[in-house]
Amino acid sequence: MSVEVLERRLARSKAKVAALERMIETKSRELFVAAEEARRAHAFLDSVYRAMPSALVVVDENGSITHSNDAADRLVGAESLTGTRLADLFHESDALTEEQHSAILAGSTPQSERSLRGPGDEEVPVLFHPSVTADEESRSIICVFVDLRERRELEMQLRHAQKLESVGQLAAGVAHEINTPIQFVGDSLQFLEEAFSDVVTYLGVVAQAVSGLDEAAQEGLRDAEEEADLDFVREEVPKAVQRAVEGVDRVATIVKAMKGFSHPDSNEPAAADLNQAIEQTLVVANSEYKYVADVEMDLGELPPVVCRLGDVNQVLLNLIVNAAHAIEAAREDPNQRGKIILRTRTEGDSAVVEVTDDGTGIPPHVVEKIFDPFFTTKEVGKGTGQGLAIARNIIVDRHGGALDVETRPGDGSTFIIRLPVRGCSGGREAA
Amino acid sequence: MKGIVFNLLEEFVIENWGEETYEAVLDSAQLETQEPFVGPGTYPDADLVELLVKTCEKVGAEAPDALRAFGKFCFPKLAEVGAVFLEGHDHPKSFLLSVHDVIHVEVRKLYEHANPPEFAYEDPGDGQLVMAYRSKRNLCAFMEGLLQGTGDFFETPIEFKKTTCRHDGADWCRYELAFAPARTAAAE
Repeated sequence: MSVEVLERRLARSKAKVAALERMIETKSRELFVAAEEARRAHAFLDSVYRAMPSALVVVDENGSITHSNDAADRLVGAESLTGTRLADLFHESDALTEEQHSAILAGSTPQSERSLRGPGDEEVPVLFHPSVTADEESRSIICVFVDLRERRELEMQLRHAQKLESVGQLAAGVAHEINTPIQFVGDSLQFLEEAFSDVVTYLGVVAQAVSGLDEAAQEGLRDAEEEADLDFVREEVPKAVQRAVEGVDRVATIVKAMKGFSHPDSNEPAAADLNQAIEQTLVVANSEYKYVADVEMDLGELPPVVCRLGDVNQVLLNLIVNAAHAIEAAREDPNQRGKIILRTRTEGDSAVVEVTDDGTGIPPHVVEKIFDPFFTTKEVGKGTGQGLAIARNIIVDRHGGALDVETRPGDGSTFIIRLPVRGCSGGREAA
Repeated sequence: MKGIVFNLLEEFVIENWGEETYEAVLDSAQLETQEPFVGPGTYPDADLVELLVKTCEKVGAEAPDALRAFGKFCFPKLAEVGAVFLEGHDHPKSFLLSVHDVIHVEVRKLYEHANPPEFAYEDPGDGQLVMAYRSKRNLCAFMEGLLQGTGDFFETPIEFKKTTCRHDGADWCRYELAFAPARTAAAE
């Protein structure tokens, strides 16, 4: 090999080294950028995975959990689920069979409702969704569990609310049906009252004519009078008819109040007498408070208030019933009676209605939630948690008014409704 | 074309015809690439063709024969660099069947701009294989040399009969391969 060739080879080798160095530098930069992108993507996916409200576990082909997010760990009350077998997550009442386990690992299981074993062996209803993911090296099963407890609770409360709605509609229908026979009874009682008065008049005439009869006839009439206890009948029959008339009037008042409450002439905004609405609602709610509280009314002069009277009646009923329940919960002696005070007044352009009770009052940590939908402190079946949420929706959203509460635990509560007298013109209407 | 092939060509020319010949080939070649060829690099196919043509001119060889010899020379060198691709294969047939679906797939992953040829197969049975080659570079003679190198490497001579060729307008170069029975220790 000549020197010239050697020199050329050496020069080429040096140039190759330089080229390789540049290539390495470029590749290193690309690798760094790729690694950064991968790190950011991984961090993003990791944060999504951890922040997911649904529980997510990754299961290997042998049925062992390799990854679990925080929601999964919380759902079953574990510090970490890594290493746990998927089958062990399920509650014994809904144990995973071998066949189901194999189907899940094979990726042939559709979404289903199952029960997991929660903290304290509690049964936790979930929506279970498995799916298979595979790369060239391995196969995993991604299992997502959606906690159904809240949904079940809401479904139960909704069913209860629907039942109450049906009962309410039934009551309205019954009230309507009672109306006609009650009118018959009232008319008949009036007839009896008048007719008996005529009979008494006739008996007076007969008593005067008796002196003209022979002794045997007179004695016979005296015996018959005694037998019939005519003096007692003369005195008591009018009183009995009067009591019956009063009873029928009372039934008619209740029926009229219920009809007016559940079917106002219109539920479009119209001028309404709120004082009359309060009186009517008290009649309807009578059975809720009459055993536990006395009602005082301090109703001021109110102008007609433009509102949807049916909705406002609903709010008044909710507040009066809540007041009665609060009083019942507070009393230590069954004979103890509380007080519900209803006040009305005007304040500027607003009509103000206050419902005050001397019941339990509301603790601070509860008062901030009382207007939340479905929030209730009552046991299941005693309250749906909808009353105050609906009240707020009606007063604030549909009427542009305000609904506030002043309360002290142990002393009682006052709910304050403020309604614009002229009504709400395109204000915060609920959809 | 990957730089490793250019470096192997350099080795091939130097080993067979000496340094002076290689320098003469470089001097006479009209190359697009102005820098030296390095293994991981990617260079125009035309530069390889130019170097091969100039080599054939310098040494007085026919291009197809030179390509076959070059292919046969390359196989053991490539086997050394890509030893991992030979693991698990003790017969040329299984190795050849892995070229398209394994080796070239990995090559594309490692080298972003790599464009290896396509292969398609039919398996008539033991001791036989039909292998079809397709590439815009049309280096079927080089491929034939690699086949011979493969047989040598596995000590199992491969006889092949070419039934179609891209140089004749066919879509594929089709080869019917027959593998000689494997040599055993007793036979040795």
